[in-house]
Amino acid sequence: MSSTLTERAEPDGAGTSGASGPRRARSVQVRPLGVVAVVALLAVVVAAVASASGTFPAAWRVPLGDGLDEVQDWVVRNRGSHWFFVGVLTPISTAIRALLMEIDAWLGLLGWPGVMLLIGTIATVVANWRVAIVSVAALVVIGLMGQWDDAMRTLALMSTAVAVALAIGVPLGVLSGRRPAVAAALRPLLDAMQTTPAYIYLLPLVFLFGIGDVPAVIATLIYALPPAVRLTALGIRTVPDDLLEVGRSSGGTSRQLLRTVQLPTALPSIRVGVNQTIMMALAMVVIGALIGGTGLGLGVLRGLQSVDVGRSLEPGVAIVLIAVLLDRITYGAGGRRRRGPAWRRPALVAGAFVAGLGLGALPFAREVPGAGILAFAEPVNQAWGAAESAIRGTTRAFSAVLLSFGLEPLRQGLLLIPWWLLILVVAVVAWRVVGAGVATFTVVAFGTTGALGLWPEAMNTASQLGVAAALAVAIGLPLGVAAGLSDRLDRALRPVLDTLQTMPAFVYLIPVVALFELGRVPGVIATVVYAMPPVVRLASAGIRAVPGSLVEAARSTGATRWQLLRTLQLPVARPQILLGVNQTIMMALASIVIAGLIGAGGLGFETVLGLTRGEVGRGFEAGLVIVLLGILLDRITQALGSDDEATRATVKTA
Amino acid sequence: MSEDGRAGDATSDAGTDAASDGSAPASGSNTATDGTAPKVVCEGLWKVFGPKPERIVNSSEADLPRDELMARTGCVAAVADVSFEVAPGEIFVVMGLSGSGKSTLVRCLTRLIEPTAGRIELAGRDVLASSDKELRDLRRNRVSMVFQHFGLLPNRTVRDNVAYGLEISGIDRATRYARADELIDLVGLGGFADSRPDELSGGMKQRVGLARAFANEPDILLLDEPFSALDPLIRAEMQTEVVRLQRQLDVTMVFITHDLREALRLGDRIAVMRDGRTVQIGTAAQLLEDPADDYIRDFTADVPRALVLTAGDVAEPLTGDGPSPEREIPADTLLRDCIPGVADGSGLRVVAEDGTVIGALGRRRVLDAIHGGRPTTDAASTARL
Repeated sequence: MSSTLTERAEPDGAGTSGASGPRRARSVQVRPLGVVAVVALLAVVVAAVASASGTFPAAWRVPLGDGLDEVQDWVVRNRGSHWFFVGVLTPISTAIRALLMEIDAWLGLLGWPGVMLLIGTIATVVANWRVAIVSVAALVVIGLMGQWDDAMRTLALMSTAVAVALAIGVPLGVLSGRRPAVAAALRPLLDAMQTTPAYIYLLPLVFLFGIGDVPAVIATLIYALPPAVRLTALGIRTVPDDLLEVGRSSGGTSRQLLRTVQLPTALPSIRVGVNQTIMMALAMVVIGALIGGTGLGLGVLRGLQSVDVGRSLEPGVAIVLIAVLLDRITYGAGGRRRRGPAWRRPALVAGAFVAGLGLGALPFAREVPGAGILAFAEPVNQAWGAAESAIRGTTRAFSAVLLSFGLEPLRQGLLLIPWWLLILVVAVVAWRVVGAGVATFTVVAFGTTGALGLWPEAMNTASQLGVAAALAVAIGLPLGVAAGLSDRLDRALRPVLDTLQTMPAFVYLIPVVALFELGRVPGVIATVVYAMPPVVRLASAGIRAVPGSLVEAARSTGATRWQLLRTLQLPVARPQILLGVNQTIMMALASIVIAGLIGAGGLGFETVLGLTRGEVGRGFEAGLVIVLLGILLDRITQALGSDDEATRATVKTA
Repeated sequence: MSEDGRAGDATSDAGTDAASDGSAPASGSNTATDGTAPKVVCEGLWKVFGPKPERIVNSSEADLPRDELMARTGCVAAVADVSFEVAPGEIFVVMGLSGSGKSTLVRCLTRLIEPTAGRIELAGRDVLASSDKELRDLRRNRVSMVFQHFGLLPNRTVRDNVAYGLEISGIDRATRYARADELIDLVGLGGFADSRPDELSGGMKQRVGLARAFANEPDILLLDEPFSALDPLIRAEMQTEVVRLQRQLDVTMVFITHDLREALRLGDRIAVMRDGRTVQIGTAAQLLEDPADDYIRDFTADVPRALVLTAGDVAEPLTGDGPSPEREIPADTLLRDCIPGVADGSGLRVVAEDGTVIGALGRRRVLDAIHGGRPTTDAASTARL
């Protein structure tokens, strides 16, 4: 872990620290990049003079999307004949469909009693009996809500995606942990996958695989892959050298070393990777429904699109229950020490599976008895109908305030600033904070935005992002610092944060839409809630990580609590806090783009259009701009704080 | 023992030897005096870290101070032209401060770190000429290592840790468990076979490390600062333990330490390293009585000599003119314990284990030896007078 820290921190540190050896060396290296950046900035100035306009000149529009539309036509015509589809893509989707149907069929054969027995047994064996009780209870509630069939469908989709993601991700992680060259090659790819908001790559998938459960599974597994690779690689890489030396000095071969030292030592990290992969997959359940995925996600989506709170809340609750269940089972794994024969656990699970099949064959196993007892769509809608008018008055007033004092002035302001001035300002900031490379990238990213004719949309999204991120940090940071200082507050916040973080992105939208209707305001509010946990967590963890000896030393000089915080705890915790801010901003971006679905407009909406109305070219352009701006935002905010891969990878489980 | 000299002075000679393969070691001083074939031979060994390390070996630049070498070539000579031999059953201690290259040296012996140049022979095999398979074979069957931070696999029980090397060698479970249990008893951990490393104290952990190292009945044991992470009391206990095990199991040891007391206590011979070179190789008495240079002299200045030197170390040969002293004293008696015998001014006859007379010991000689034999400065002697 420490080696990652030093190897990654060095360039950034050199960029901001005082004149020292490494800094001098770096400034020599940087010179060619600096020239490029200066040229790029000059180009902006020249372009500004040439256009003599504050708005991005329409004449410079690059019709990238039109070309893509043509490509799409070609794809549609050749899907059945071209070798790439027949020889590469079709086998992939056939294999995934086969696996999906297999899992689906087995779940069907188990029936509800079989599934409960199997999951209960797995929970007992992997975690403990308390988790088993919680898991079975969650399943019972899902059944009684009448969501059993959709839940099983979602479980099958997820299991398929997770199985494939792990089958690819863990070996890839092992390889990248053992071979630095592989790690270096994978790093930018994984970075891009993680900074890209999930549903951006739905579009190319629809392009290649069409619509349905299979592309939904593929989208899910792509999204869920990075943590499996990253955490496996991290685990392998952080195996202490002295343990490796033990293996080597005992005469172990490379394969023996992997089996006896590296994999067992990396196991805790790999387990976290599995947990993260599953949680990420679950977060895609609703998003996958956008491209034809079925199950609970589809229910949520339909309810959201028709603003039917009750109808979307039922599958939403079911998703949250599945999330809690899977999180508890996988997170609890490995928590306790096991004695006794190694074959016992797999034997127990296999036994439960066989017994489950027997239970599933019973006549009552198809339909959950009493299904629908807990269905609350109607009562919720009725109660909501009664309360709506009273609440709406307040929420509308709130919306109006947020719009007229936050979102709208910011958007107008961003649009009023001449485009070239904005580019110059951001580029100079990027240069100061990160370096010439990112300054150049700024010009490219903004230039692309303008050239694709998405400047107004981008400014709309930027204003929402700015307000949401500012609110999330403004609320989350003090909360986190307070939690870092107070054990009681930390204990109280922990379950709330856990729940917020296990909840898939879309589920937040349900109550928010109910309260604030459609538009930009509910998008911002859902984003604040969604994006806040990392900054709270990391600020609290950062304050807590300040060594007690330092606090003691400061205290002994007679510092007040406030002085202690200002002069010691905040500065020492700074890297962690800034990492939290980075995480919060990136999550806010992912969420604000999704808000396009509920009428927030901006770049997200353009992408949705691409998905739902088949305007592929336009959607693709918007997706590209989101990716470019996302990478830019990530680089700038990351450079502000520490850049430790280990912390990034495990941040969700901190 | 002045010819024991500084290995560093012989740089060029030893280097030439290393280049012309198969030649005898540079000087007799590095050889174990025993007549039998040495278990460990290390000859003109170099390990240079940095770009193009080969060019540093035996070059004039290698004689530069470290920072200058680094500035000029970007290289660090962690081990520079080290030569020594270890006799069967000997405990050979390599002593040096951190950064002296001792840990790199011990890792070069089994090529955990690939040496830049030189020749290494372990249990009669040329290590650097070994194929990967031969090397693994050597590590599995002939040489074991004990590590400073124990290197216990946290997910394995004590028994599985001790049996680890045997498992790597492909020995079946029943056999390796039987052997592991034997060794667990031998190191005094009976009853802890099913414990996990995190349930053990530091001293117990290193006992597991020792048991693991002994499990494959090695000829040679390499110990890299095995007791540095332990409390002083536990350390003394473990030192006794290691001597006991060494006698009982008859292995040859290369023992790395930064602790001079530990080196003097355990080492049959001691190599003192500094900046990658051996400054002096000799017995404890030779280091104390005949330091190769001021570095060794300063280094050993604070050693309680009365507790390290023995009567045999400092006895003066019987000249034949005076009468032989009447009272006898065994050669391995510590000087401290000779004091009562010489206090009244009479002499002692120092006798070896087999009864032969080694020499005589008088009050003057004992006091000189305890004082350190250093020439007193004029100021100091004046003050004392």
